[in-house]
Amino acid sequence: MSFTANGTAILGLVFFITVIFVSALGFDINSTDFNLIGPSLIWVTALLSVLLSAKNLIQDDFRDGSLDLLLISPIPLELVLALKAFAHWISISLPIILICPVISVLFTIPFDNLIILIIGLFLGTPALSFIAILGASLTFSLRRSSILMPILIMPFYIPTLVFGVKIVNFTENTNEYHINGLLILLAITLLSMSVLPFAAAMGVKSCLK
Amino acid sequence: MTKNSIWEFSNPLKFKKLAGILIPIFGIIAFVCVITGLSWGFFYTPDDYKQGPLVKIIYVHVPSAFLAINIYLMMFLASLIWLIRRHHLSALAAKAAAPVGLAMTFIAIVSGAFWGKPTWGTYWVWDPRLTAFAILTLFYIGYIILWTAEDEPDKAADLTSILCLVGSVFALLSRYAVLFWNQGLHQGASLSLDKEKNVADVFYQPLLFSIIGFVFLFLFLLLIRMRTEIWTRQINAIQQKLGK
Repeated sequence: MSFTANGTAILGLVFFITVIFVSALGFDINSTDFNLIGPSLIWVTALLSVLLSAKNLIQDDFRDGSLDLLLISPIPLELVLALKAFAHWISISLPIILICPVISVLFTIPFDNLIILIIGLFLGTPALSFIAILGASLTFSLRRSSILMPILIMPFYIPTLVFGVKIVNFTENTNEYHINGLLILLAITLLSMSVLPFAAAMGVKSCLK
Repeated sequence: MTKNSIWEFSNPLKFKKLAGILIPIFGIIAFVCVITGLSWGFFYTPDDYKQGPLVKIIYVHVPSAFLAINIYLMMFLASLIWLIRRHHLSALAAKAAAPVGLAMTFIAIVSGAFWGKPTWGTYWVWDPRLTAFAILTLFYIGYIILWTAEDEPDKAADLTSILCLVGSVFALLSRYAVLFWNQGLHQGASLSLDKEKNVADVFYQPLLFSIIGFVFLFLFLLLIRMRTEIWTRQINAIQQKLGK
């Protein structure tokens, strides 16, 4: 459904690479902790890509009327929205995760950190897509929705971002610590997956009443 | 619905009658308590042996921080009641409370900044408590903006309630996420049931007055704002009937 939307997947990836590259030039390249900035930058940019591409998740369907059809279809709306979020994750976050090893060369991120970063992205980014579908469902029928959605949704990304960045950059490289951090990320994702489709469906239904 | 239950006041007329009685009472209690608490605190308590007169910021800082968190809790409950029982006043209460909560958050942050500069040497640190308050501000702002974006009241109430409910969960998560981040400069809770950790009695009593005063000030403002909102809706309804 949302997967085929005019090559959003490729645009998302191009956006990600462009932002990473340009903002990397904004830092002092000779500074010693450049490899510490890398993971943070990758996380923040991934978050922005998800946010910006999520605007049309529901709005397009709303405009051409297919949202009404989805509402009266035998598949529950909650499931439809969950699938939309999952498709969004495949089209936006998955390419970003796959390109991470290449990006990490730019920042000379050590291999151990890279592994943790990639596992963290795998576990954490689904939450971003599910939060985005909530934001889309709350704002799709409103005026100025393109600026409204980031304002509403950004604060929701804080837990994922904090844990995602923190487990990579932690100085004590104990395995136990990393595993706990990754488990917390997984917990946030599972919470989002189980709760947010219902909240989003509620939002969509009250907008179409 | 039985008489004398709280649901009776979902009738706006009855609510307005009650609000008419309660607003002056709450106003007077708030005025007396805030004046007592602040003047007692400012003029009749000794200076702290380390911080000097600076400690007196506590009489503004603690009540506003206390309210900033509890107003969000109140909005959470009001949103829940709206979604479950379609109690219109409940949605109105949540709407009316949000700007007051935002103002309280600002007061807490600003008074804390002025307290932090001489004692910690900085206006702002990325301390868990401070960061949590900054995040709380973002949640308040998003909530208020969502209300202004939608004209139809019921739909706006639905959307904002969903945002508030889910937002509370994520606000709580953020609170613990930043706790995980690092240990902060901010001291622990000033007031808790665990008496050992409380501030000294000399400071405690005026602080209590001040907090009670702030709570009633909030209730006073809340009722005024709710009544105004009801009036606005009635005017809109009349205008629509007249075909304007």
